[in-house]
Amino acid sequence: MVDVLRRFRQGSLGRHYAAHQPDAPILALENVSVDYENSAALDQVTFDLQAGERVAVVGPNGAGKSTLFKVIAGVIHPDEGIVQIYGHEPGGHVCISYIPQRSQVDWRFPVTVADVVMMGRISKIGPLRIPSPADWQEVEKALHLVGLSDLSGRQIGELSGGQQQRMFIARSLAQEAKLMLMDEPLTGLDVPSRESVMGALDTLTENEVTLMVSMHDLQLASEKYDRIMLLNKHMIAMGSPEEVFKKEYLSEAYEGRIHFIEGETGEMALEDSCCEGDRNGMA
Amino acid sequence: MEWLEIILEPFRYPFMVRGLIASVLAGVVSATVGTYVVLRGMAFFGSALAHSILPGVAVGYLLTGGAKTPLFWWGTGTAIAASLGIGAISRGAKIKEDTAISIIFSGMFALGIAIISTVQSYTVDLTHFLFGDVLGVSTRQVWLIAVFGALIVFLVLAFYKEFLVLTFDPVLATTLRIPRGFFEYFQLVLIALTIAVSLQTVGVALMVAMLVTPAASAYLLTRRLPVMMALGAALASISGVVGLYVSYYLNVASGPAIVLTATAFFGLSWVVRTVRSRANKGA
Repeated sequence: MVDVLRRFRQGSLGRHYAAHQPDAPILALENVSVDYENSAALDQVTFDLQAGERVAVVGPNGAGKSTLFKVIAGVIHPDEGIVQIYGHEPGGHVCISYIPQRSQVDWRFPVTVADVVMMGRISKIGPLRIPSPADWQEVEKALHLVGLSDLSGRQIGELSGGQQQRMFIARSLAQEAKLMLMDEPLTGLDVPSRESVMGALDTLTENEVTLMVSMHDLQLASEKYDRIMLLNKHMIAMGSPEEVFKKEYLSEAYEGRIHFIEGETGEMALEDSCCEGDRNGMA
Repeated sequence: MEWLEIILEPFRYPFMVRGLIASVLAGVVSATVGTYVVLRGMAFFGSALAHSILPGVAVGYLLTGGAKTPLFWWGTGTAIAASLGIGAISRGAKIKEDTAISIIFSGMFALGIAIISTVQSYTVDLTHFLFGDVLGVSTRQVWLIAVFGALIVFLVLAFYKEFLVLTFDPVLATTLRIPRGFFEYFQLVLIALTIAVSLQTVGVALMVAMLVTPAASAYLLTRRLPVMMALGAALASISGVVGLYVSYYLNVASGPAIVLTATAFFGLSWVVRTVRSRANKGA
């Protein structure tokens, strides 16, 4: 009984974290399929990521980008196939950080920016304990890295869209996450806010965090990311922007909802998403 | 009559003193737990749960001939069973959650009334179960309310971090390996215990007001969770005391008087909030 109490205090009871296999890729998916009410949301997706890679996930609305992230985070279980983080199933890891789309968050919730960042440290604090001064230091450090030190005491709804995304990036830093999944962090942001979020994401790379970001802006994806995944239920292509952004792949992914414009330096692709690109009303 | 006399007059009666203590305690407990009920949008669940315990209380009433202390245990037992039952049904139901909950709670409520109606003098007792009888509370019951209330508040504070993450970001709770299913049922049991503790003050039909109204008033006035809990508890306690005075001097039933006072505070909070946000916009 005493032993159980001690383990509970240490936070180890019922929380057996899987050890990382050193030679395994940080993330490996093999023939992963997810069905929603008899239609495939993800179909036979296979790929792997090495530590420190940055991948932009692009594809039309309903392509399964959010589903892919949730499967990796272990929130939904694949109907078929295997997901492995460092050689183990997602169930045993606290090193994954999933950041939902902004529309999924209750911004009126009565918490401060620092409170949210502190949430990332909960598994490190352990049950029945309050955050130590060292935990608060980690939170301050993370907020400083994303440039939000001055706003730490604000209620989260008082932040701008870009600041809100940076707050979540700080939470991943405080969590000491190794793999971060960000679902459309740039949707609904103006250009300066986008820049600030992209800058904060660079901070993650400096901390050797592996990054998967879903986005709509193909131009930005090809400029900022060296690896692109083109998804529409199944994986159409994955590789460098030059390898992925080919006319046949894009046509297949966007099923005709994309226009190609001939230019002097080559061809330009424009996604036809003006009417449905922002279904959640955050345009 | 002097003001002091008006305030002290009810204290001449031991039943008033017991009633005041009981309603202050129940107020603190309900508002603390109610904070999460409001933030998670569980008001309907709370209302349904309160109604569902009537058959348990009714059976206890028949078996014990209306003794007060056994009724507390019957109420507590039924509340826990009903919370777990409704929790399981709403998870596994083939129909919409609110439909499933409605069917169960109205059926249980009808069963309770049917059982009580087999007793000759049932109308008086039924009224007490439905709308509360805080002035009929015994010393032993006050002790039970105090002990259970302290336990509930302790548990809410002890698992503050876990409940906070679970409410704000369930996906983060999953990725951080917080046992989500366990804490969800834990929370339901806490709500059940709160209902049992507060049953005597406002009864099953008005119970949801104790869970929701003070916490919602506090939500309008603050953007900090701990402040919301404390302010909600204060408003609920004051509502209990003011309600009992209103009941004493105007000869109104105590349960409705307490609820109406809490409702008035909500209206006042709404006005304060509106005036404050107009002032902010003007500034």
